Amino acid sequence: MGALLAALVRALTAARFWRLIAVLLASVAGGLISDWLRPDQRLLFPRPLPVFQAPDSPR
Amino acid sequence: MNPAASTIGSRSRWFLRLVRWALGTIFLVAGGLKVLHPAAFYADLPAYQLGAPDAFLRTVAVVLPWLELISGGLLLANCWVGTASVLVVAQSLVFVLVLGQAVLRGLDLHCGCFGTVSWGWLDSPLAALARTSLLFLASVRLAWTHRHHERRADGVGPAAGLDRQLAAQQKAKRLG
Repeated sequence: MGALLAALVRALTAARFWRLIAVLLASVAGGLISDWLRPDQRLLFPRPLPVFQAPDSPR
Repeated sequence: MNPAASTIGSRSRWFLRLVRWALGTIFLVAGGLKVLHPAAFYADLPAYQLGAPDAFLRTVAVVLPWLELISGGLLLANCWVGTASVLVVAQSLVFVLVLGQAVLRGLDLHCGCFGTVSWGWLDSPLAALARTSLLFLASVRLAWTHRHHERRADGVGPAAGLDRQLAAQQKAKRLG
């Protein structure tokens, strides 16, 4: 009985661990996608290199 | 069933529901405002003088708002409450530690808790520390109670043992 309960607890903990990983991955994915989709507010993805920018570009 | 125990249980359930709604709303709004203006949140981070590399601060400014948004949304939707409450505890603890060091060092900064929204003196590090300490205590209470109820429902832990004893007593009373 004790072993069964321990296995149950382990299974539940493992399931929650994967939920935790899923939420963390979703946050990272959300952040990366939103960073990529808004070039004016990019913090992670590189901005276009200056050589490819028009001369009157603000940067 | 004992009516007093039933009333206390009902009150406790309502209290926890209110705590879940409050935490969910606060994290959803704070995360949403920061998601809208990540660059403004990033601009607030160096004022904490944590000595972290710029790439780390940029990653935090991009990922943390989404973590807050998803945690708050899960709490409000009453979905994966155990996972969301653990995440909210972890985030609140980090906020308390970061704001605590800012208060101890006497740093004058805009906390950036709600993105570009500014509430005057409520944005001061001391007020933000008091606010996040309350959030931390509430989230610990929610996570602990949720875990306790889940273990009880799974038949694990001392509370489940008490449940089994009570059920056996009631069965014995019914039988004889």
